[in-house]
Amino acid sequence: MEPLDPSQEVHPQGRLDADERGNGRAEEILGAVRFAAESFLTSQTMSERIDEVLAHLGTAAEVSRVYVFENELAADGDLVTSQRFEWAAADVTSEIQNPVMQRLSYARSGLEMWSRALSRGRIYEARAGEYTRSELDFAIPQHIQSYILVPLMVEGSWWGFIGFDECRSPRKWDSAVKDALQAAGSILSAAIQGWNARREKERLLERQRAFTEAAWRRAAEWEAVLASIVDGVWVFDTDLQVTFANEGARRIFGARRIEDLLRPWSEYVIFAEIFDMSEKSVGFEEQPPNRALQGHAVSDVGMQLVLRSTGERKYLGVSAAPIRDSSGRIVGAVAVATDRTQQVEFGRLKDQFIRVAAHELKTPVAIMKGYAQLALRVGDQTSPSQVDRLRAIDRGSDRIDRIIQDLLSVSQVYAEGFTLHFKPADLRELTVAAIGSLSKEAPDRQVLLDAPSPAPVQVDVDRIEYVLRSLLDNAVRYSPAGGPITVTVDVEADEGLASTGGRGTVTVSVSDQGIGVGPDKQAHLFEPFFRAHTDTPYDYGGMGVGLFTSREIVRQHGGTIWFESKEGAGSTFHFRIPLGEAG
Amino acid sequence: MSGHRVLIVDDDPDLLALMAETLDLEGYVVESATNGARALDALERGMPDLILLDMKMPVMDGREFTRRFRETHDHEAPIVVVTAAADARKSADEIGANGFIGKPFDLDVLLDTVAREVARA
Repeated sequence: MEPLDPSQEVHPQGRLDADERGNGRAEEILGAVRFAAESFLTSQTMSERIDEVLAHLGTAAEVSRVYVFENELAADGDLVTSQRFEWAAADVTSEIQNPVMQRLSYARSGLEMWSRALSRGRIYEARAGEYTRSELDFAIPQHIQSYILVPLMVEGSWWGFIGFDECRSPRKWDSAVKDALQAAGSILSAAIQGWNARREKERLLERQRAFTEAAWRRAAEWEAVLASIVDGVWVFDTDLQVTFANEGARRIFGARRIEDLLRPWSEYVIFAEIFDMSEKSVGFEEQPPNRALQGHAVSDVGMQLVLRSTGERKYLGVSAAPIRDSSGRIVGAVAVATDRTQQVEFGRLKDQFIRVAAHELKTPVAIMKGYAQLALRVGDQTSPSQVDRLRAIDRGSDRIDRIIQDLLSVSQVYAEGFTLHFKPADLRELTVAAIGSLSKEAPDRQVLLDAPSPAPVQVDVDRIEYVLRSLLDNAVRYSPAGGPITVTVDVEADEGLASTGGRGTVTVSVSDQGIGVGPDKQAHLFEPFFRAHTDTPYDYGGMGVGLFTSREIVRQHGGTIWFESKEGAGSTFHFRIPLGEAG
Repeated sequence: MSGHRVLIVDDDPDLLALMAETLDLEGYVVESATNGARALDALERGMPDLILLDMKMPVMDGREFTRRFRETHDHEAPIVVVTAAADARKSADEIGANGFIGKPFDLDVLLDTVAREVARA
């Protein structure tokens, strides 16, 4: 690049003067550098004392301007630099307001020689007579005879520069001055690094404070939520110390204050004894919080408490889960307990009501039925129409008795199931007998039996009779047009089948050609009190508990019950139980 | 016909009368009591061949009667429980009775059971 030097013509004499003036100022400059170091040490930010420092430097070096530029990357990746601070001598114009000095592109303004030198940590200097064309564009409007730029390097990268303008003559900077200016640059660089670190630290602190505040707020929200829910909530640490409990938890254990609950879980025995729903004491290791700490989630397990203070019994549904940190390590557990005491007690009351009512009904029914039968028995002077009436009373009594039986069965299923009295029997014989009693009640119905072999089983005879009667009753009831009812007793003795103890199974199937059950109703057939044909022309009465109870009976015999049905074509119900020899 | 003595213990007078009349018609010698305590008194007048025993009665129930009866009379007379309990068989098993009849019952069942038990005794 050919140097153009119009300033040399403008100030032909300036050079020598400047050289002489520059010499001997290094000591003053170093004094200003010392001042800079002291000032920066006590400054929290760059802007705090930089104007003072630049003024000292400018005065000491006897220059026209001192300024600081900071680099940044523009959005398009271009490196630009902006003037941040300036000191100007009284006899020159200030350039701090000059928009050209903001976001000045090294590449696009032809100032690559600046960036080339400065980015490598080297000083750049130029003076009138040696300026490039693009340098002239700056120098002439600002009357710069010579200038020197000292790079500012922060954490190993080029941050910007501190520059010195000389507007009086094209000064030549001697090496002592340059060293002193370089020292000023180094001090400023170090100070910027310190300020950056401080700013970074403050930003981190601010973030941490904001985060902490958010966490506190979130915790307060959760605490409010937990406090206001009705269920009891406990939080445990890994030593099973309770670190949180809510009002619901206090109520459940009948403690005076929530603080009383903040103790090791093992000490909760002072409040209550803990049982499972079958009144068995629950071992410490098996309790939900312990299970949760072992990594198992517990979902709505029924438990009972007997409070030591009042003897009160409480029924709870307890859930618990481990609390894990971000790495998946278990750091605690949470347990939630729903107080179901009222529901359970209401359920018991209902069952008790059904049992008592059923029991109390049985005696009057026995009297009705018995006297009707007695009147028939001694009926020497009974007319035929009176015989019919007495038989109707007898049948009506039987129907009431069936309803009572149904109610009792359902209540037994719900209250921990039946007591079964197993004894050896032949399911084929039981089936034949059930068909026999059906024929007495519905003599016009044709029942086809296919039972080629005996079926030895271990069953509760009364209960299995109930199942057979339910299936046969349904077949009769829901095939009003008549049509044969087909019953099969199918023995599958399977010596090899380990799951049946090498004994095999027997399946009883009852088919009718009746009205069938629609697909939408099929899923509900085994529900208590569900009656598929309620409010239809095929509503023949009944409690809707036969299949529900039958399924429970079959289940307790280790068997299964199922059906196929097609609306308008009929239904087939099957139950299968294991074969079992006597003894 | 039979001439066997049957003691019927039931607090319901109608049911008691029904059973008494039914058995009487079949030739049994029937004695009645409306609770366990009266039944114990009745035993003073002679040991029956069979006791038909309701379980739930005021003053003294079937369970307590059985306990006291066994104390003094061991198994001198068979006991058949006549009960309205949900599980009649269980009630009978619990007191070690010889048989059971669930209420309501067919008179045939009553007569068959009584006949079987007195024949066995």
